[in-house]
Parts: sequence; C-alpha cells; structure tokens
Amino acid sequence: MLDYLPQEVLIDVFTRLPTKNLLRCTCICKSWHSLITNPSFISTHLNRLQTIPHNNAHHLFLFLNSSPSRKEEIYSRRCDNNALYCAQDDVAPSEIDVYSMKGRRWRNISHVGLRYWVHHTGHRSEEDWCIWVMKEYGLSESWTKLLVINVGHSVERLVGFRKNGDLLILADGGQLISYDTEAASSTKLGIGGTIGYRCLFKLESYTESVGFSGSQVHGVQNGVEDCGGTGGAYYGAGATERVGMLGPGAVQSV
Amino acid sequence: MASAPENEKNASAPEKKTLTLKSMINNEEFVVDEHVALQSVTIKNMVDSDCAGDVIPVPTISGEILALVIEYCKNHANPSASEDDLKKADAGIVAKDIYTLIDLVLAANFLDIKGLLEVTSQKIADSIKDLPHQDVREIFGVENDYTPEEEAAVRAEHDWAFEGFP
Repeated sequence: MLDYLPQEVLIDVFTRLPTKNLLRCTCICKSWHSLITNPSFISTHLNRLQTIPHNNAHHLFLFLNSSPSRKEEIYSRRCDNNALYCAQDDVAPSEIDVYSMKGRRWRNISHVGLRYWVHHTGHRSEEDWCIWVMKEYGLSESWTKLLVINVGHSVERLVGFRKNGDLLILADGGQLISYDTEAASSTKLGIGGTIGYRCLFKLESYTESVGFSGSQVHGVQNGVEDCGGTGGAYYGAGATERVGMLGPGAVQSV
Repeated sequence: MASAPENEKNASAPEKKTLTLKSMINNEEFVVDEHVALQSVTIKNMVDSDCAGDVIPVPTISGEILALVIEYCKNHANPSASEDDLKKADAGIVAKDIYTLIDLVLAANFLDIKGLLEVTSQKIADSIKDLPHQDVREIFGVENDYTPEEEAAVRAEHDWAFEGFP
C-alpha cells in the first residue's frame, strides 16, 4: 500500500499535521488509520507539536470547577521546561504537580517555581492589581513588578492570561472580563454571571493530541475525561477533582 | 571585480574538487563542488568509502528534481548566507506543486539530506492538510479500502475533527 512513499517519510509528514487534520486522515485508508493511531506515532506527534514555539498547537481552555469545597487551588502547566504561568490572588502555591502521560503518574515539579505572580493590593475591590515577573527564571531575587492595573470593576480574582496577552479577570458577580493591559480597557465576555454561584474558573494550557481520541491508548486520570469534543487535551492540571465544563459539555477556548 | 580579466580569475583560485551527479532517469549531468554535494549523507558515504567514481549515478531522481536538490545544497553550503536568506531560499525551492514536492521529498530521503527533507515534508503537510480525501488518496497513491459503513464509523470516532469539512 505504501510502496509509493516510504513509511518513514509518510510518518514525518504526518507529524507535521495539526491534530485535527491528522485525525481526518484516519479516513483515507486502513493503513493510514493504523499508522496514525499507533501509540509510538502519537507520542512522536505530540513531541513535535510541543517543540514548535509559538505555533497554534498550544491552546488555552477555561474550565469551571464545580466543586468549590476544595480549599486550595493548584495551578500547573503540562511541561516543566516551559515557563510556568500562574494567576493566583494571594499566595503562590507551594506544591505543583503535573501528570506525566509517559510515566502515567503525577510528578511534583515544585522546584521549577513560578514565573508570574499576580496579586492585588489592599482590598479585594476596585483596587490596583500588581503583576510581578521573575525576570531571571528561577532566581527569586529577580522578581520585578511588571505593571499595575486598575480594571475598573470590582475584582474577584485573576483567572489567567489569554493568548492575546489580555488578562482574564473574574469580576464580582461571577462575570468574566478580559482586560487589555496596553489599552487599559476591559471587555465583558458574557461568560458566567450566575447569581449566587461563586464560579471557580480556571485557565489551563493544553496541546491537542490524537492520543485521547477514540477508545484506546491513553486514559485520562483524575482530570477532564471528556474535553467537550476536542481530540483530547494533554495538560498537567493539578486539579484532582472533577471539573465541570463551561456550558453543556463545552470547553471555552480563550 | 567585473573588470578583472577572465584568465586572471581562473588562475587565482586553486581548482576545486568537483563531483558529477547523473540522473539515471534522463541522463542529465550536474557538475557540483564536492563540499556542496557532501551535504548528502548518501553521497558522503559513497565518497568516504571510495565507492564514488567520476560520475555518481543517481537512480530514480529526475534532472529537474536533482537541480532543486543541488540548489538547496549550494545555498546551505554558502557560509555567508544568513538564516533569513536560507529560509527565503528554502521557501522558494519548495514553492512547487504537490507532485514535485513528493518527488523532492523522495530525493531528499534517498540522498539523506535532513534539512531538505524537513522543509519539504512540512510543505507537503501544509499543502495537503485541507484537501478533500479523494485528492489526498490520488496524491499518495492509496486506495480507500473502507466499506462505506466502516468509513462512517471511523469518521464518527473523530466527528469533531470534521466540523466544516465536506
């Protein structure tokens, strides 16, 4: 079947396709299906995606924690070589775990430390918020105040950074707003806002992978099992509780 | 430079070692500086093990494709080329139709030229990613061996990937 193009060349081409396009290729013929769903190919593909800087392979998604009983929130990233983005209103989490798909276990990466830290000054109201950055990664003396913002809304907490650089902010009343730091302007996103419900939104980064789709290969433990119909998310969410999706089974891409 | 007499130019530089690559498809020959040709690991291995004669026959690669390969090797053998220059030059080399790209990737694979293999594979991936399935099958010479029911089942497995796809 593949005598026309050597298999290693075909695999090389496949690893360069975005996940969505690659999944469609499973319909081309049976041998392509078995190549694409082969576990060793899946990890090759995922590794390739993760080594491409600033491509669109890394997505952010927002999810809503539906069990607010948990006392502390843990933020983490899927890859310990990457900068760790963190938006937390008071203290930096002391323990950070990632779930390694390779090792099928949680791994503590607290030693990596944080890169960004957001905190508010004074009261949790219309006060200024400061964003600090660890300029020299890993060196705690290099913490520098990056900017001070005043959102103009009553702020509950910062949820995270959007791909366009905007801040995602949870305002009082559960409304999510997007804050453009350059223009110093905020936009209501029309998400959330359920009265009497204190939304626990979280923002995580993920890379689409073939590995989670279908019934085989990798199982997701502890985290998001049904990613609202995406091919699957590979991410190191520290959340061990069930998460409720935004809307009916939908992940909001931000 | 332009005013330098032709014979002076010939006399000043020591003669560079060259290799002749010959396409066995249409017998076209290319005389290439050795250091340019040695970017091909396959040719390097032949030269290193003294298997290379005056003319190196290159099977299954047409003259048209071989010319592209040599252009790539020349660009990348130029020490003064900046990364940007090379990127632009690479983009020019792979700005071809899909069938030429397939021939080119086969040539890069046979001659074992990693960089060319990478840019060509990437270009192929970019070119086919939104094509209808029947076109992809034609390009890669594969047959649809699914029954309509099986194909529908595979499609249903990944239905999210087909949103907006015919």
